Amino acid sequence: MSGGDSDRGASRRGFGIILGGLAAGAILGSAVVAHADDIKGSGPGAAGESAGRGSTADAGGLRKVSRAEIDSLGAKLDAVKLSDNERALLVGLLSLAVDTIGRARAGNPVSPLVTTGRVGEAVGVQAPAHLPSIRDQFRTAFTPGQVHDGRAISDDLGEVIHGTG
Amino acid sequence: MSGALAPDPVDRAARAAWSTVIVGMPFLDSGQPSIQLGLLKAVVEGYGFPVRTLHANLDFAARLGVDRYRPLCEHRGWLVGDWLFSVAAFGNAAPDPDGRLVDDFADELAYLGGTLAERRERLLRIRDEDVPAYLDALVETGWDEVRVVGFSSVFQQNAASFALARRLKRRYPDIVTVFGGANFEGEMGVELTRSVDCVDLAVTGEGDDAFPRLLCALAAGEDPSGIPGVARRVGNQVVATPPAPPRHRLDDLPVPDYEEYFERSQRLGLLPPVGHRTTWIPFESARGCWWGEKHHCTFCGLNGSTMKYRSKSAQRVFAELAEQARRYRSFRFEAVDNILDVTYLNELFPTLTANNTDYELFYEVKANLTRAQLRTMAQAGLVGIQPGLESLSSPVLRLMRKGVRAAQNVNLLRWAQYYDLHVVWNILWGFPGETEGQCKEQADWVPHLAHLQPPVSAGRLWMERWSPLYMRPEEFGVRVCVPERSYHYVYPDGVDLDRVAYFFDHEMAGTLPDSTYRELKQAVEEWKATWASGERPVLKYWSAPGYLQIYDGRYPGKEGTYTFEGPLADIYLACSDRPTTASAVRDKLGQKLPVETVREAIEEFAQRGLMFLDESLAVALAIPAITGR
Repeated sequence: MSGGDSDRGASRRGFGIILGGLAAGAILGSAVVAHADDIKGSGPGAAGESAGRGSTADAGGLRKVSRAEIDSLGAKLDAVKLSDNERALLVGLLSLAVDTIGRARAGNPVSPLVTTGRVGEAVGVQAPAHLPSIRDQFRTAFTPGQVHDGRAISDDLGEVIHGTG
Repeated sequence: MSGALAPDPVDRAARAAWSTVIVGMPFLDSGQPSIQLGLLKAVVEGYGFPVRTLHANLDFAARLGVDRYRPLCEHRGWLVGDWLFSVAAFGNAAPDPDGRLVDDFADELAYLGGTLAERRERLLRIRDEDVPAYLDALVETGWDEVRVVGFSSVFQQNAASFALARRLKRRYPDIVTVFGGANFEGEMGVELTRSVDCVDLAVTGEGDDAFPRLLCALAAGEDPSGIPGVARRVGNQVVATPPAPPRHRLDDLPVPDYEEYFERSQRLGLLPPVGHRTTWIPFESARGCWWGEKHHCTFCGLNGSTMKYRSKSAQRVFAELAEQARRYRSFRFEAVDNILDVTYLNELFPTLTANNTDYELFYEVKANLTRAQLRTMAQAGLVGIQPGLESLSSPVLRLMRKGVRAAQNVNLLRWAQYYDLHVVWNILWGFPGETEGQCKEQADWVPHLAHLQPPVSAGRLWMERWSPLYMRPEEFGVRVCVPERSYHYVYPDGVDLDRVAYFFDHEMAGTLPDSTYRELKQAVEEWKATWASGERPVLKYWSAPGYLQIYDGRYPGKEGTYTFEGPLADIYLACSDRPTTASAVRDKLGQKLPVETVREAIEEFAQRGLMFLDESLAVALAIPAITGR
């Protein structure tokens, strides 16, 4: 593809906007995480700055990424000089990743993980505990049976209230 | 009062000699006084004329029995009420002496009850025995000093009014008859003046200035041709003046006088002589329609030349209600307004609440009222509304130019239920451009709305005079538009029905056949039947922070409780106050959830009939279990 008119619109989307899908998830409490080694290995650039703003690796070697860091990454990517085709490629890959992570967070994973390509170095979604999918929550939400209104307030309750007044 | 020209002594003496009676004939509802009569009496009295009102409809209701009279008061009713008086009104010229209407409209008149043979026997006996006896009794006394008889005619009052006028003029040839009311608006009044010989004069616009000015001219022996909005015969011609612009300052109008209604009703045994009454007293706080001024609903024919919206001040309404409650010992008030003045939400209703009035109020409203607004009105005594919902489909509502969405309609029904407001509404169809899918979608939603008040009726739109459909037929693809066929059973050949009719039979391009609506009609009938049985379905919820239970008792045998926690509870509650979008829910919840998650949850709620979906809008269907907050 030569970066013609047909995908010019898509290729001009800001990376910050695309990565914003991750940011929304970060606020939810289920964090976008990466193996610490992978991030540490990226040198004093993005990861170093992120760590400097307070991100820390947990005991399992995972690193929480804050919304500010995701925004920062988006801004930096926006500043990189790319050809139209390079930009389109990156937009496509990031959009796919964000969409997949979003689906996973919503309890509807397309695949268990989105990997970096090397075994054991995964980018994915980690929730504090297992959350059932929305569909599962609905599936178990219904309890059959009629409910009848009881008396609004009983005389006994009235006495208690009176007695405590 | 503006326009109540203070008469000089000579005028005063002349006016005192012009005793006037303002009459309301069948089939005016017998259950409450006529605001037209009450208001005109007070207006005319202000000009110094001796005037009384005659709710002659009460005599007919007493004669037939209220239970038999009231079904005949249907506004549409295929003119059976007018037909009952047609022979008395037009004599040998009446078009249906044999009573073909009863057979030709057998299905349409089934609502009157009984078999066709029973109906025929009953209606013919009313027409041939009760009507003549009733009219004879009416003209027997009380007319010797009367110079002018004014007839207010709305819906099915024409023929009965003509019948009485004809008898009166035969017996008292000097009496001047003046006709007015919605049936005489514009060219209808002109044509009826031309073609019905017992009509001397007609007021073709608002009557509260034209009628007293006409009386002043008659008393002074002056030519009434300079009075705006009056039609009269001159030789074989009718001379009509265009109506004056609609009255602007409604605060200047007097308070309607209903004393004679209550006296007569009590004398005829229709009202018990008790200290406290429960009659719904009509009052007028506004005229015209502020929505119609901007976007006239395509089917609405309520405002011909009087669309301009005008309203009384909140202080005036407050004072008027207090005065009427004292006068008539009833605390029930029905606004005759076409649409509520929204400024009353901040002025009138809080004032009523602050003054601890114990009124019960009825208003016609626009369907976009919020929960908070309904609460304000309910706290002030609102117990009934007519919101003009008309459809459960936003695309159809757009075709009507209603200016509301289906989700708003459903939400209004929810909160009306919550605040215990009786809702009078209808489902209309037959608009050019409707699709089968829109119709089916409505039918599919109906079972999920079973806990809300059903419509009074569901059916094809009526083509009404003054409506955009009638006024601009080419714009809507109207191919045929002829006076509804029942007019041919009431009026003689000499009456130009094209100029007299209010309802029209029609064909329009781009409309669907009746068969398309069968499923929707059936669903609505079942909805109504369930409510009529007294076993009202339930869908209600209880909430605590992050926790929600919804009890679903809409489907017999499948009752049960849904329990939701965390985000799902939050999403549902975020859609409870008003219709909202998935993005707005996400924002309301602090962007804690991706919009896709919210959307998926909304769809799951909707699949279970727990939410109503309307394009991008969603609204919870359950109502809080704890009411009145």
